[in-house]
Amino acid sequence: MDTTSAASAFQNSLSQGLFIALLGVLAGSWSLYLAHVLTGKESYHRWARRVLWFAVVFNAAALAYRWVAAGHAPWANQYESATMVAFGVLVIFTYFEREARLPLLALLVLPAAMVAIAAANLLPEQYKMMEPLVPALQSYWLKIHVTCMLTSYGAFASTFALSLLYLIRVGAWTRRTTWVALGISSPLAGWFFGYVHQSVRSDFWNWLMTSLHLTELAAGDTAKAYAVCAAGGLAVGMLLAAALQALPAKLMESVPSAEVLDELNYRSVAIGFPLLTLGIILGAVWGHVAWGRYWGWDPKETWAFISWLVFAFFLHMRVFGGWSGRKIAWVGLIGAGSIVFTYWGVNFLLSGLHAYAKP
Amino acid sequence: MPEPNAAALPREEAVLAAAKPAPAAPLARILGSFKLTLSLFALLGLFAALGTFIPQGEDSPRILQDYGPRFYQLALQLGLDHVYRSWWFIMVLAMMALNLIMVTWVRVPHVWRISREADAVLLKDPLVPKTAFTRVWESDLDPLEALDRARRGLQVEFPRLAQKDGPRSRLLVGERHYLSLWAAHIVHLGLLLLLAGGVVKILFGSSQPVAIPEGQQSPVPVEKVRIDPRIEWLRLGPLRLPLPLLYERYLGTAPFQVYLDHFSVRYYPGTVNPRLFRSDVKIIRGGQVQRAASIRVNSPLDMGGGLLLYQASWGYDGLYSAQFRVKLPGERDQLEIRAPYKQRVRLLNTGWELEVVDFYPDAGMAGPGQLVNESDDLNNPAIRVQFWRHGVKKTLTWFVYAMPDIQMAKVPGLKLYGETVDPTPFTVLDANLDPSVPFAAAGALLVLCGTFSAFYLFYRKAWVLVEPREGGGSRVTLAGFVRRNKFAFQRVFSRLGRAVDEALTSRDASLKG
Repeated sequence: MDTTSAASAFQNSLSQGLFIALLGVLAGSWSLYLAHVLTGKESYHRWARRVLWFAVVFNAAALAYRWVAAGHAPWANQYESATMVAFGVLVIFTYFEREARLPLLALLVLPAAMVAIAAANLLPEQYKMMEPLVPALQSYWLKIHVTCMLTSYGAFASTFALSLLYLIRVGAWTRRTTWVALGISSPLAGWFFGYVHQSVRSDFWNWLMTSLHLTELAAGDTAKAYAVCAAGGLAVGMLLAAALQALPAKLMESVPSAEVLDELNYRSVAIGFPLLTLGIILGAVWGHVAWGRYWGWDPKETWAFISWLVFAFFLHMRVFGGWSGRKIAWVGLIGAGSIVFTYWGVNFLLSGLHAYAKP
Repeated sequence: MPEPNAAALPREEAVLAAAKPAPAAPLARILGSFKLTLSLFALLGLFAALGTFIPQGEDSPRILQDYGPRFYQLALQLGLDHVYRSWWFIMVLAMMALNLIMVTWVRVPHVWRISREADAVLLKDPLVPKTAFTRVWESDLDPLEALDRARRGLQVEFPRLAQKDGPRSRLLVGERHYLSLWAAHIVHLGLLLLLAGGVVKILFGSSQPVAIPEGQQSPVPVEKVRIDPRIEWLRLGPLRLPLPLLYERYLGTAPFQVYLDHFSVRYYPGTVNPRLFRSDVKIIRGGQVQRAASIRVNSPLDMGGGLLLYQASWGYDGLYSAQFRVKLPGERDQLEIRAPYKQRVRLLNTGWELEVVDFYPDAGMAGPGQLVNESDDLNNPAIRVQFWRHGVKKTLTWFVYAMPDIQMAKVPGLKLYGETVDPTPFTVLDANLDPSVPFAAAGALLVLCGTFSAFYLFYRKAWVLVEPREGGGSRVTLAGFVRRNKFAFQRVFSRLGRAVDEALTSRDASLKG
């Protein structure tokens, strides 16, 4: 290994190490929020907020380091974009934390940032490396367009959590809903995990399968692998559901009133929707500069447009259609689902011109 | 104008109710209906999603592989292999455009009334003496003095005020963020322009690939339009509709040609990651080099008139360029030559010219003095070179790179020395003529302007009505109206109330109530 590549390997390790450390900081903040919700002690809340602020600064610093080390804005691949999504989630959430006391919301939103970083870290090593930019990405539009899109995703993470909290608050989300939702979504998530890790052959996958004495799965028996992953996802989902059922009713005491949640939900869309609109339009401008066309119905573009339609529906119904509260919260959840598919699903399940965002 | 009075101040419901849109014709009502908007949102989202799961266009044979022959047949029949160009998708887009137009048609007068006629409404309105945003003072001040003071108070939040005088009363009106009142319609107009841009691009745009090997020039194809009135039949699913057309499209060429000087591919050191694709070109017009330029990804060459040349692709097409040295008769120095296949090259001012007229990548001997090409692999390259002197053919000779000592030229003193043989790259440029740019730019700006003003500017309006009281003094009424974000406006209205209060009660002004 020559000096340059040794330095590069060090920079890569340091950058990844910073994001793993960030995961730890976020876990710390989340635990403090949980302690506050369970005990009601104000000091836990104060510290949770301080640690959250530190996490925001830490995330910014980690991004800045990667930017300097890579020599370009660090959102050129799936790993880097995930770290930016996490930053967007945290920045928007801290705004809401300033507006209202929302410890229970933190318990739902912070995991979104943590999952984004953790999932990115599960990718194989070569997909986490700082790579120089291919010609298609050598443009200042990368900084502007991707920043807008990923920050809007961060805002919609709050929409997801606020919609869910609202439904729980007004009793529309029952225990049975939890069982059904987790019963359906967790095996699907497990299957998706299996698909991604079969596709990209991460070291983690191979290690996990070997550790579980399931080496034939690591070798590529996909049908079996998917079944195992789906079953694993289901088991985790059911455990989570059981844990949620066991949570004390005291948790609900820290939830703001339904009216406040409804208003904050609208505000989260009021932040995310203009950013999404701006991001889509700037992406179209970049498309014109790079490829000579504004719009090509590429899967990523199309799904961003579908998400835009869902939130346009949300706004029309709330402003003109007289919908609020429960119905709007369900639309918010659908919109958040659409964003998740736009960000993750399209990258892994569909192909297109945005393939460089693939792991 | 009827006499204004405090009882006539507006409650927002009263303002909105009084300014309700006039009933529209049934068809306009259906086409501009909110339900239709929502249905179109759903259909558009559904159809758009469909196209991401079913391979489209050139990839459509994959439908057969992914979904089986039965679905493949069905997909072809329904146009699922080109969703975004299918008649039903275009119909949904057209309906969306129609819906946007009708919504604007029906609702713009409504917004106009709120913004401009609300004052008239409030002057006539016999409804509602009080609203959440109303405050009344009974003052001993002379009405003109009260008006002047109230103006100062109102200007804290509304710097620009209009005054409307009745026979006895006077009204001050202030409003802010007027733009946001029109935000939804601005977005709608922007979306319409974007859709119109799409139509303009389909009808008049052109996107044509131009492949040019290094060292060669090529005309640039452009689809053009000429007047040709005629009737064609449009198939909309089972329907055949007559479609009058005024023009015809045909494939012409741009008034210039592009010569590819050099195509560069650079990689990041020690990797296979490309760093640069660049076409160094010369624009040839009327046989003369007009200008030289470089075209890179993200940096197209603007040829004017809406025509841009984009770096689209590149490759090798099996052509090669030979690098060798030549020693000419009577010359001491050897000349270094890089000769692309089948291009005549002048050798400085020697009067000599040469052209590589044949190239065998894998030359073999078929017999004495008889060369044949045995494969397309670059194993044993040989070139056949034609020499001219002062325009007169001199010799045609083979040169085998692996056997430099065998010189077959029949001109004494003429010798060739082989250097390298390189594949000749070609570039693929996309000649893109897009007359929709002004539509798209204006549409995008309007959508952004409308979206941001809808969310971050709140239309607000406040009135101060000053009426003389029986027996002296005046009654001052402050009222406010906001369309959204009432919580925030409550704070604004409180500030406004305090400001008017301070203005009215300052110094020796007396106040009751």
